[in-house]
Amino acid sequence: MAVGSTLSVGLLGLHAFMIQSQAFVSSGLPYFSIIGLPDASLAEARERVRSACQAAGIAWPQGRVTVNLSPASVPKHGSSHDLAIAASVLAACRAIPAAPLHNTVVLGELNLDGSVLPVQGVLPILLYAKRQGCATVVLPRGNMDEAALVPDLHAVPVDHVGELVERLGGQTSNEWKALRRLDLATSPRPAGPAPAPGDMSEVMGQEQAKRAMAIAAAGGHHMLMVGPPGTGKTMLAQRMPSIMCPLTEAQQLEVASIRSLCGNLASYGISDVPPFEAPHHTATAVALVGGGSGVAQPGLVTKAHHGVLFLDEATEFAPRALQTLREPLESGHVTLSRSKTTTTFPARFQLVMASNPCPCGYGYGSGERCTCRERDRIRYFSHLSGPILDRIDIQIDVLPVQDLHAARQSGATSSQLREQVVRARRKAQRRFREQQWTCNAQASGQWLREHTPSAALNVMDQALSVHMVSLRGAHRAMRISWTLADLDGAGAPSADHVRQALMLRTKVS
Amino acid sequence: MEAFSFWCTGGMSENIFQRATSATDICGTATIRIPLPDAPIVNHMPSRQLGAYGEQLAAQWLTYLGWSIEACNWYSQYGELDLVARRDARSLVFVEVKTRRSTQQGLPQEAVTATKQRHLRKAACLWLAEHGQRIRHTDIRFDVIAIRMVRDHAQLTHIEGAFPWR
Repeated sequence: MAVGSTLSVGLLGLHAFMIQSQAFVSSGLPYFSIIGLPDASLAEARERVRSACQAAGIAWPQGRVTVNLSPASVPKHGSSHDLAIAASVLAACRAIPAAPLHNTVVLGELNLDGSVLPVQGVLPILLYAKRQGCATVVLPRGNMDEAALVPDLHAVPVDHVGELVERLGGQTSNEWKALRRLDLATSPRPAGPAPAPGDMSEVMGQEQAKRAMAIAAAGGHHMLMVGPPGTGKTMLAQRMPSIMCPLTEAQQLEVASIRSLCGNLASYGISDVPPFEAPHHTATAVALVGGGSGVAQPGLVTKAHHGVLFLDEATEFAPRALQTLREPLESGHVTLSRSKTTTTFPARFQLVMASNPCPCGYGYGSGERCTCRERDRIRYFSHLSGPILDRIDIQIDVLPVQDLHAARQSGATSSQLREQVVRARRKAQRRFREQQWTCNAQASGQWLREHTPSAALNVMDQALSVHMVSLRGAHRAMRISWTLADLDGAGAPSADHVRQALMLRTKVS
Repeated sequence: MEAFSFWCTGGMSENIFQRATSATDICGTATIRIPLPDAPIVNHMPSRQLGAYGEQLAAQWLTYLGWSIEACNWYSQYGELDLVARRDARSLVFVEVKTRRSTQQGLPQEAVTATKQRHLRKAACLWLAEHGQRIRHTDIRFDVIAIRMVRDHAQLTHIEGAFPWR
């Protein structure tokens, strides 16, 4: 019985799973079928694989060829299994030895001339393959950059299906060696490293806002900035990654895996700068949380995982799009169900929103420059519904700079702020060593109630008794007070920290 | 014309298979290499005659295997059944023969497309309606015999059970 098998790895969202590609060659009329729930692009692999093998000068078996992709009940998609299918068929018809392929993951898309094209999402696949203890991974040469990110992995780059056959000791014709290869990299490469985010000291004044950003970065709190046009809200937000805690190695790999899945890892590379996503306000709900037919694709909340999702002109976003953020804001992941599968993507991002106070933009202070009617002003802010605002811990006003002289000489730099942030974050991480969360914003209500000193709780009780905050709001304020205590180097929040926290929380609404 | 009558009247001697060699490919399909004494004629035959020549070669092959030929070139509204043979007392086999001189258009067996298979099934039904009572059988099968003419010999590939009744 002529059976050949090899391994490949499929992706459902970021969740990788092992696929065994098994080819069976038997007598019968020439026939080639791929079974195991392939989608349209995978079923087309038939034509690619067959033509590629012939291009390498390997005779295609003149009988029935059946390839099963197991587990057969899980839908598979994409063109990244082409090379694995080809390898299993060639092993089945003894063009290459079957034994070395049994514990080898083979990745790659084939072209009709047999060349192996790079595929998307290689990084999460390789990390998974390594965890599963696969000795060797064969992958397209165009994906070798990503393979270099995974240590201790035996990666074998190939350019052509003929190269794979020759490496395994099979015979090919030599015609394919003369092929001129197109550099079909998944995306264009930038000339240098990605531009670093600007420095906080470039923003004139706004010391209060910078302090609030440091608090947000230290505790992982969501944040809303409200102010008239031209006060530096966007500049501040763009510099948020520069003051955030550098990503840990595990986080870097997670972020890089998401980028690999989206096919734009090459333009970012691997870095410890948190991702920053700033969609235009016409972004749709699907663009934000992810979606697509059949199998869902990641959206901006996932691309901003471990980083910042900045919604400039937040009130201009479609209410429906904004509402989709409610679940990921709370849970840190997003689960998308489509016809074929349910996919869960990580989405632990930090939300930073900026908005004008009213449609004309000048409804701050005494409001004398504002030309809006009261009704318009109410409607403008109603876009940010209660449930969204309730999840935003820090809400601050960003007012125009009035004294350029004073603004010029001040200015904490990003590195100074970052130092504070890192120190506070380390403190929180030590405190939460036993818990599953890593920053104050994720702390559970029970933990907060048990560990916050009574002096601080008394202040909170007063705020609750005059209906200044809701119970959820009180918990949120407690979380900020812990961050404030961390930034001040205190062991636990004082009454003053709680008052500051309440101030930060209840500026708007 | 003399040559024509030679093959048309079954001038091929039975023993052409005695000098034949067999090779099995990876799929498990045996290909029989049969040296042909009349190869120069075959190589310049019009395609229609080539088809008839192939069918005769196939018939001889089946006889050589010990099968009995029940019908050849049986026509119906769905097309022609090349050969109907009995493998043993119980099994009836409908054989489609495809003969080619070059593989420019693909292998001969590749010409038995899904449409052709459908037609063959329907034709077989009609044949059975007519003769099924006469010939006792419990088992029906479709075989394809692909013949390639290569210079001085023929390559005969017998694909047993090539496609199912469905």
